[in-house]
Amino acid sequence: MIRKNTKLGIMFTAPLIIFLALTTFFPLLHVIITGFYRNYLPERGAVFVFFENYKIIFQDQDFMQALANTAVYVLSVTALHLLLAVALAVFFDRHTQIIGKIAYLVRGIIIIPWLLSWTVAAAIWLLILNPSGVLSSVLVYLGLTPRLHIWLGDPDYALTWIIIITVWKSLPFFFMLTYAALMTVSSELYESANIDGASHWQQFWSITLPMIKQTLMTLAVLDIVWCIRQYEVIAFTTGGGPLGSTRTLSIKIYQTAFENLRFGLASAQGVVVLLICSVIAMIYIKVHTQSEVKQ
Amino acid sequence: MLMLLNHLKEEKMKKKSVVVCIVLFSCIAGVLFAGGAREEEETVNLRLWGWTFNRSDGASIHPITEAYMEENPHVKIELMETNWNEAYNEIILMSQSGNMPDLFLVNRNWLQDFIQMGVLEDLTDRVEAMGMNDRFYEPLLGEHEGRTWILPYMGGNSSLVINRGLFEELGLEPPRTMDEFVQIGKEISDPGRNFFATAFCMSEANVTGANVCNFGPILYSFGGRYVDGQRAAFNSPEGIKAMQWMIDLEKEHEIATPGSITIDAVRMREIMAAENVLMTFDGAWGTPFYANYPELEIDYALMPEDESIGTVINIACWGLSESSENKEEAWDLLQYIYEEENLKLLNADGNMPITPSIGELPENQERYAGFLETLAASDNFFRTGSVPNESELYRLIVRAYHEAMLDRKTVEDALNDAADSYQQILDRFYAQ
Amino acid sequence: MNHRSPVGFFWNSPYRMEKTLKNFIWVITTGIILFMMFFPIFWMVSISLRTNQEVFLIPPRMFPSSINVNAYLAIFQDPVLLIGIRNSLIVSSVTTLFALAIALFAAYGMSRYPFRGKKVLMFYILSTQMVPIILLTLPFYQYFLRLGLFDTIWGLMIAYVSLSLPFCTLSLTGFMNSVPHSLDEAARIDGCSILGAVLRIIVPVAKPGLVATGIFAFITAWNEYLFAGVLTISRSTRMLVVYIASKVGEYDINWVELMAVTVISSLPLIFIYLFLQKSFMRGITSGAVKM
Repeated sequence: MIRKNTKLGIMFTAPLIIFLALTTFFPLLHVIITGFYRNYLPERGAVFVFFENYKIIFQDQDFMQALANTAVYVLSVTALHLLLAVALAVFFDRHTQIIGKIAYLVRGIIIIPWLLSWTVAAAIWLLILNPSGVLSSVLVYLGLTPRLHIWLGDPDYALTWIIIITVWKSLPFFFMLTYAALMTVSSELYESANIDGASHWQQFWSITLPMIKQTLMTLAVLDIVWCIRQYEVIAFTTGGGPLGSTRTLSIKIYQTAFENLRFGLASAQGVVVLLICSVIAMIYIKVHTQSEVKQ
Repeated sequence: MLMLLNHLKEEKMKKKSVVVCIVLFSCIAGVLFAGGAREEEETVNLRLWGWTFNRSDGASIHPITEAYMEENPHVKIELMETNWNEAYNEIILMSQSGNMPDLFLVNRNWLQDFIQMGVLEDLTDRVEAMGMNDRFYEPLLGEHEGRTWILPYMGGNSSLVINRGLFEELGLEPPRTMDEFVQIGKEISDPGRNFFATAFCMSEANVTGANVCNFGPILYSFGGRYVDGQRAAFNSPEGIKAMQWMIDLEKEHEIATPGSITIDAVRMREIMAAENVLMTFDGAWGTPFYANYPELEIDYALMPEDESIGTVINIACWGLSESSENKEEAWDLLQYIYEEENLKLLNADGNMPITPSIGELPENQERYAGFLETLAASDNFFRTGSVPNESELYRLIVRAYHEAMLDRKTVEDALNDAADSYQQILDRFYAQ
Repeated sequence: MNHRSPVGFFWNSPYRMEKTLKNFIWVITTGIILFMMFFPIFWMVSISLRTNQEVFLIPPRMFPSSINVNAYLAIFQDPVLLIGIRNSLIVSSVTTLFALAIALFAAYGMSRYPFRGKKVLMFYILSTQMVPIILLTLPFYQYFLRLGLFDTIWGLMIAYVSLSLPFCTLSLTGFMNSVPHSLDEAARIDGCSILGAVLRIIVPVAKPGLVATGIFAFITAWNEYLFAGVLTISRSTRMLVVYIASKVGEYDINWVELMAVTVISSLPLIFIYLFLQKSFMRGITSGAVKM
């Protein structure tokens, strides 16, 4: 029984609306407006130029490459996050009885990567991926590669490693939320399914997945947005190189704003990111409300 | 009846949630507008900003400012600090928000940007009145186009860092020319043992380090220049020769550690400290790192020569804010910082001497011989902060190096393309 | 024997071999993932117990040649560490409380009173997350300066609540949607106020979600670096994450201390998490579902 009650609905959400308006929405407008100015710096010699910045963006080869890199990066990270998080959560849910106390501890330790700051996470992986770091040394020791391989200096592999680092860093968070969502699924549903003789796989598709679908969708859309924002890991490990193979939009925007001091252009680039994210958000909202109606 | 009760409950609940909302709002509003008031004081507040105050090599600022406050009770000095990685962002945000400190550290390679932004006070007249510029080593001066904007403080020039212990063990002398460098390298390098003549730091994660430590000094030693007048000049035959020389060292002769495109300046120093290389091209700004490992016998040698002896000068300087309300007091403090005794304190923290008076002390003549000799002998040097949009120049050069290293382009093509891109920036800059 | 335990399946199933094989693959895959998760952590602890010079060795050693705890001793003598831990704890806790309170109400409204304009609201919530944070630093800096919030931990709290609110709201809405509407309707008929229904019925049922969301808000505030790095500037407002990053210097990285301070700052969080794990249990809620 769902009642439409706009007054109560707005009242409950009012603190959120006002808080976000005060803190984030106005800075966002500031960015959008700055995007229409040509300036070396915001405070000096800002000239209103309408869409000139956008013209520059779409003639910029580097920006297009950054767009492609971002797409690959974001999609792989999000897919891997969800896939691995669901697999781990289901594993821990099912096998708790076998490993018992160990599972409790493992679940505790597994969240460590998420507790680290991005700088530290990137630093640890930099030690592992160095030309003479652990990974290369072990591979040579095992005879798998004839000489030290320069992982982060290889344009074919650099982005893959950035993806792995990102997945590693925030997988615990996705695991934790998926696991929490799994816990809200009533065990009686499984018990009756067991009595009906449904296999684990069938149970997963018909009970687990529909019940945690909404959580997964929310996680997916926010992961996409967060990955587009990701900056620290790449800046610290490769700085966008080699040959621009790891240069994503946020790295590009950072370089435009703080290295070239072209805040107007950088803001316009930010608005392009905003538009892309908006499309994703609209799809999410559409699917989300549809699934709500079905419920 | 039940429905009515329920209705009443709902009304009550509405009130409750209204109350909760109001409480929340007032909390937010309270937090938002609290602490807006600033105390008015009769004393003069001086705000100093930098990124080195908590480091061992920047520690001297604490006794200096404390002693100054004791001598001048009406002055209150506030030290503000940002980590190095955010330092440039912070000072840009400060300048754009009208929150400039009175005195602040300026890394020399920011100078062009800062003059453009108009945040620096022109110190020419003050410095001339005090005859201050006569005290410093001439190449270190914070000049740009005849005006003095900043005063040199921490850092210096680049040169050759050598592992004296290993050199003596191998019975070798530091190379005097680039050809000798290659010769020594071929003699001692052993890729199987991970032992090489040198390591280059050409990672895109630190493009400034790549240029001020490695490519810049080598380019200038080969007789090249970054910019000639208003033309990008690093694609000259000398420039091509310099970059080709670096790439050959790693790929052709195998006397530089593999993976220079992922090694940054920090990693390069670590490889040096692990004794996997004999020598590196590095600057005086790296000396505090080596000071951590006294057992290593790290020493500094004269820059190897080719067409000339080249070096890059990159130094953290003090600047006075153009918008400061206490310029006279700040200038007075600045002079105090540069008193002989205080410069000795700075030097004792492991910084290269910036004045001949300190540099001529016997212990410094021995300790910093390589840098001081290079500084005196250099006939072709680059001062950071003297060309527009320097970070873009550095990035373009590192990218060209990567393209040539990964066989996407020849060195000549890569440098020509980079020079074309940089020329556009120069043209736009000089058209203004 | 529990029906859902694989051991139970193993003995009850006619396809024992197939089951064991499937379980075997499960365990191996999970094992590999766990190894990849754990190795860097092992590496971090291992490095924190070396001397800096041993970190640089080529090829690297798996275990330190001798245990060296100097880094731990050194950072514990540094007063800035304690300032950092204190500030981070205060900021993260307050952020979590505020974010959860605001998000809980909003989520309840969105889940139970699907009003007109809800789609717009969802878009609005998401839109605040869509621009690279680096572009928001300049407006935030200017606003905070004007409001006197620059270089205060209060300013950071506000920034962090705004950073974690969108996720908290959407996530809690999802968890609340999974709680049957009949539950709070029943509670309402039994004479609970709406607030009572939220606190007594929804919160216990959605507890795993609430805890997970709360942990998210806490860790977001704990680890956020860009704002902490530029919006605070004096010693008394130093956040732990800024202190950690100060080990990554201009010309060197103090690896040993970097890793040691990271290990130390992670330990309390792990204990908190282990303690909170009890709320990630199924079964507590099943009584409520029967109502």
